[in-house]
Amino acid sequence: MLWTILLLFGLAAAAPLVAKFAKGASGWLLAAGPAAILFAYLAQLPILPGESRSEVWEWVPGLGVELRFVLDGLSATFTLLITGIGALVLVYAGGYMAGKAKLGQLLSYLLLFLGSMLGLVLSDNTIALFVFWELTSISSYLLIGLDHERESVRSAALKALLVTGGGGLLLLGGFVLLGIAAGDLGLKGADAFSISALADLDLSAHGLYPAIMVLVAIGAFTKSAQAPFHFWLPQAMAAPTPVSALLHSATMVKAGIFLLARLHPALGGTDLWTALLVPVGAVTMLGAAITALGQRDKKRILAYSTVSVLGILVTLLGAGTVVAIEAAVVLLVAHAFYKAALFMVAGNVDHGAGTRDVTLLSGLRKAMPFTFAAGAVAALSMAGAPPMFGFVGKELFYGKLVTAEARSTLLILVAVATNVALVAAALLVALRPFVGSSAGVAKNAHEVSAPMLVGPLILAAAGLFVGLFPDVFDATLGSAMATAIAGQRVDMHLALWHGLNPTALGVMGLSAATLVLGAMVYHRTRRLLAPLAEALSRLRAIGPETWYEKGLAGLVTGSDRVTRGIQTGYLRHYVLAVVVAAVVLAAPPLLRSLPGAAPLFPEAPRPHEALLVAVAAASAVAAMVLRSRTAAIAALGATGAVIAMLFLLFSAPDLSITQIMVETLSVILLVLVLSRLPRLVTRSSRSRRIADLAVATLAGGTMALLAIAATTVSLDPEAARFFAAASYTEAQGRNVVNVVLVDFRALDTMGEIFVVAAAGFGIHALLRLAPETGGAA
Amino acid sequence: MAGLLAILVGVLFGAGVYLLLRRSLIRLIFGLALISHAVNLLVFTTGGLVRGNPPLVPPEAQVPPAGHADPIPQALVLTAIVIGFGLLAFTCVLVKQVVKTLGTDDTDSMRANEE
Amino acid sequence: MNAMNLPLMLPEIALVVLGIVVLLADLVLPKEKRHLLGWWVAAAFSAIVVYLFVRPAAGEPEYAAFGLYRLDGFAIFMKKVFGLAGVLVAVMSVDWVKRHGRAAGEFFTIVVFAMTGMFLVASVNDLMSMFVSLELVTLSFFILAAFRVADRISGEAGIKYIIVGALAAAFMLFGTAFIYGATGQIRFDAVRGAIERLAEPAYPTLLFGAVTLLVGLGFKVASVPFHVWVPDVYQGAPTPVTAFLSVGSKAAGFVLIVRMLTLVFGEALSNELTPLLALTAALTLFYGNLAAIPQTNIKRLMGYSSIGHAGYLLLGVVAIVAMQRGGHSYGSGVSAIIFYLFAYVFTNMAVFLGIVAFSATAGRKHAIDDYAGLGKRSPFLALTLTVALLSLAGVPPLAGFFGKFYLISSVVEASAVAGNGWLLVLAAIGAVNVVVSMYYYLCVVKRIYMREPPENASPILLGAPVRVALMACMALVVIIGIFQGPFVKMATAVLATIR
Repeated sequence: MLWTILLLFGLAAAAPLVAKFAKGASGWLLAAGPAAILFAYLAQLPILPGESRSEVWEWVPGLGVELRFVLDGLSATFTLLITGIGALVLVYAGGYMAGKAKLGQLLSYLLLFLGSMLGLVLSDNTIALFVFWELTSISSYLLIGLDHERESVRSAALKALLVTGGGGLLLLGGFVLLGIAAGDLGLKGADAFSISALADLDLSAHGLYPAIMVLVAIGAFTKSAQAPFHFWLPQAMAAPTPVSALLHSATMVKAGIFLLARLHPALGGTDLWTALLVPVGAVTMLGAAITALGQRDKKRILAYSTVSVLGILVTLLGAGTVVAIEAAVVLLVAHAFYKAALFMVAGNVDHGAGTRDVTLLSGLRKAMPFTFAAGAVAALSMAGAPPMFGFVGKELFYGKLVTAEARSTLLILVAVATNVALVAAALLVALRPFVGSSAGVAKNAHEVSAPMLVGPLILAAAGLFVGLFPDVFDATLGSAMATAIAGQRVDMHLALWHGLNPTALGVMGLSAATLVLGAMVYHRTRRLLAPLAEALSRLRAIGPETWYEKGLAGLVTGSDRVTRGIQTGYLRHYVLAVVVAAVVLAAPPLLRSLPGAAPLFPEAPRPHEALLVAVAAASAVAAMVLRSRTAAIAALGATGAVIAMLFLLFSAPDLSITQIMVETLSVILLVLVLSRLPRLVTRSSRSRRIADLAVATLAGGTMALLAIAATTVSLDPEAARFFAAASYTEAQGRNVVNVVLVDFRALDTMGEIFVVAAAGFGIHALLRLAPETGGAA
Repeated sequence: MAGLLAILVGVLFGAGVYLLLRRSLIRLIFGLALISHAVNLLVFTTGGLVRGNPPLVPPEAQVPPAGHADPIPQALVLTAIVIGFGLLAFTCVLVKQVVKTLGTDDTDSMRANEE
Repeated sequence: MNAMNLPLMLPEIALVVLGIVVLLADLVLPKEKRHLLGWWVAAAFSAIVVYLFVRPAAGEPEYAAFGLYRLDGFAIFMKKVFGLAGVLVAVMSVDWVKRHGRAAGEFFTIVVFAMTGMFLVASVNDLMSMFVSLELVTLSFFILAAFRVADRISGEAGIKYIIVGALAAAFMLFGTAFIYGATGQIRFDAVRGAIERLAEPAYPTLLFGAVTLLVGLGFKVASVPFHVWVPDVYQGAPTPVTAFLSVGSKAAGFVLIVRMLTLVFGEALSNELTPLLALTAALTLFYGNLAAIPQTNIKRLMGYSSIGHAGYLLLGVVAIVAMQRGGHSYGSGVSAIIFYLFAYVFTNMAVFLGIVAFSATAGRKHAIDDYAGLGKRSPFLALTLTVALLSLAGVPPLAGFFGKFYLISSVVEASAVAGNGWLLVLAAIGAVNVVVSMYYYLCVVKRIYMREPPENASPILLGAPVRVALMACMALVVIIGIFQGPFVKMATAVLATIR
């Protein structure tokens, strides 16, 4: 199975070249790839309930991440949809973008997207699944942003990526916790991340289950555009039509549904699962279906209707009963067929008539007969009219609601209202543009080229075929898919006609009512449109999209403000930050050491020593406050000299000599350099100076206390003994300090020489690079 | 006595910090010098203080007399003094060149990135 | 341990010789050919790296310079990383020095000095040697950052860097003094031994020794609040030098933090250091990533991003410290840091190679808006920059994603091992910041691909060496991500030599 994914990625890399040379034919050429894969997987049919074929490749051994692919009813269905619709979309894209410069890019991104999607549905390892999940986000970002000349497109692309990518990271968090929980329950290594192994565990009893469930659900909701994360999807409609078709039909947005289906055996069947999924799905399906009717753009109508269907699917998976799962399976497949077909139809209309505004379009049936045919058949399926597959799905959906143990009237009402709106939407996109007067835009309209007709016609026909012979589907794939989702054996017996029994009659009544009501709403849409659109725009102003935009803007301005506050560019603020932070960090150990500190002066200091210390301190303070450069330098030199004397007093003659030499050099250097610099002036205000003095006192005080604490520790001079003993005996040196420096610590001495040498070269370079003088100074 | 030197460390460090908080580049150099003194003195003090008994091996002896000063801090301070000097010298010249470029030694005017 | 054992230090000795050769060559070569010294340096660095690869792998740690120098698998590994990064820096410097530098000889000598310091950093086994080698690196960087002193922004960067850096160095020396004061020892292993039998009164001194040392190292790795120098220096320093900082300062700093924690402190300070470091990590993550968002200059953006990456790496540090409590195995933290450093260094190099190559044609333009339409001006450069930025953002399956994943999982593991729920919060903060960082990296990508180039913009021309270097970096970023096996094995092998 790995080869199929790699093949798609390879084709993605080759696509720009292919487009360069094959031009108009490149869509056909590249479609051969997914088509071949489609047939390879078709050859694997039928897949029986409970059957799964797997394949394992080692990937990240350290983490137990492996590329484990599983082909069962669920992944096989998705695989066929992805590759089949993918191939048709590639052909379609070849026609849609024929002669445009971006064709190669578009085809490349589409293939990248197909490959990622294929990897996602085949993965059995959560981490690998996440990687493909994020890859689909990235490639859809590229696809949406293809038409990037407009600012709205760029922000739509970014929005899609931030919402789905961010949700993906939460999902990753869920997966990590899932791995931990699985580890606790006995799965080791790669098994802890294997979805099929998880199904056997009783995860719902684990303490992490609620966290896992919430994170996974949010990941799925963002990807599948469930409220309140739905707002990125209609915005993404800016993308060219082939992209919309791919995003909506089988793929990107269904990834969330796929994830929920895949994890249902492991995580489903709990109250939390139902409580999370059903309300969100119900709100989404009704809200989106009504919103769809408030749109003028065909693509936006389709987008919102997609969100609505996704809501239905989430609701069904949330219910989790066998009937619900069967309904979800059928609706998912039916939706993939009709929605992809309708998006292509929308693209054809745009292409042929020059607009997608349903209020402008009419009478296209003569000019675009094939498009009309495809659209009409697909719309029947969307409306749930017999004998389409969509009808079978809707019957099951209603059947599930009517037969549910805890039958909810509210839920039935929501479902019916949703489907009514969907019927109206279907008529709006597939009937309205084609019927009526052909006086307007239809005059100059024309039918589109063959590559753009193949897709919608085949997909519409497929929906009709499966609707007429639903038992073919459930025998080859459907039952296996439902089994994989339910985690128990399910044998589906799909039919258009369920005979005469009370339940079937009730469901049929609901179906008929839905169709009639839908047609009535459709007739009122012209009058409904304006007030609905008005209400929606008001809603939008307080909705999640506005929150997202405000949040993003706030993030940018807020972080700008914080950054300017901290990173002021004033060096003194930087120094202040470092000093204060160091004092704060040193405080806890310091406070801890205070109670036990030994007396400060175990012996009285000798007068001459105390005098030296006082002189050193006084000259340091003088260097701090003096306003004459020369005087300050002199005070600095005095400090150094007194310290040299202290070194001499306390048995460090070498140090004393070095200190005197270095101090002398420093003073000379300072005098030489500073005499050419401006005089010292006092720039800070008095209050500033007092505040700085307070900080300095705090820092100095802390350091003094730390030093006192350090000097009260009595040392075991083990290391010192070693050097003293080895100095003469091993290194033939009578000055232990010298021996230490040139023998035992020669590495430091070498480093020290290099530091001074580097400083020297640095000074030399600085002088050569001097601003005005140019050459050597 | 160690306590007295510890206080001196604090005074030197505090004065150095105060100078680093000034706006004049020249005072920054003074600050660096004082802080380097503070550090050296602290390293020296932590080894323990011994009067008049340097770590030297007298003639005819194999080891230094008992109770001699700890040679390790002395070696460390020697290294630190030299490194501090290298840093100070480079900073001096850099300050000189930067003042030449900017025409002022006010660090508050050094905000090219923020302007 | 008690021997000079010079042959072990062959790479460092070779670097010293190289420095002298470059200096002498500078005197001999005519002025217009001096920038070619960069190729010599690149060749020599490559030779040293090759030597490190062919020399027999270190089994047990070996010592030289009377125990001040320790050569183990970790040291060799980091030297390879430093050396390879040095090759890339030399490659990107050649052109830069040709265009801007009058003191080519000094420039490359100091680059060699900095590399010598970094090699020593990877091998030091003693607190004072650590200070000295780190000062060699830092002083070299002070000089390099201020190298265009005639240019206002570079001179300012140099000053700010030096003042904050000198303060940090002072803290490191304070730390060394305190640790000596507490233990009477200074060599890593001897300090460790002394800590194990430490008397209670000496404990606070040891602790503030450790804290002040970490303050000094925090400056090197740019952790909040010791990061203040980073934005100005990243923006103001010559671009090849900025690139060099990511190894010379950040990687070197983290190597030493790992050394400190594993070789010196061990379990002793775990209780105190865990909350301290966790807080630092959280602040660093948030500050670096949030502050990067409003940036308009790409070098400054990379500065803030480097602070963010310090935050991620600190997650691994926290994991180590937390797991040390109770003597648990802390391997996952160390190997995560190793993996991340490796990926980060080369990804960052790719970005800076791109910036240097861009400004070579487009002039000194570093505004992010200047990158508009780069996809059209140079598809190759645009692609490599994009891959590198996405890896920095942590997009799977690139190297950066797995790096972040390992780091965050090590914190999660530490939380489980140490029974510390706060660490889960820290892990979540790490994850949240991945989303935040994605935003600003993508804003750059968006400009590269989704904007039109300015009118009369010329195509960006890349020299062959830069092209090869970019390709190598990109290959690494992609390959580390996709073929993990060998790299994880490598990190594990390195890990085995640390303890």
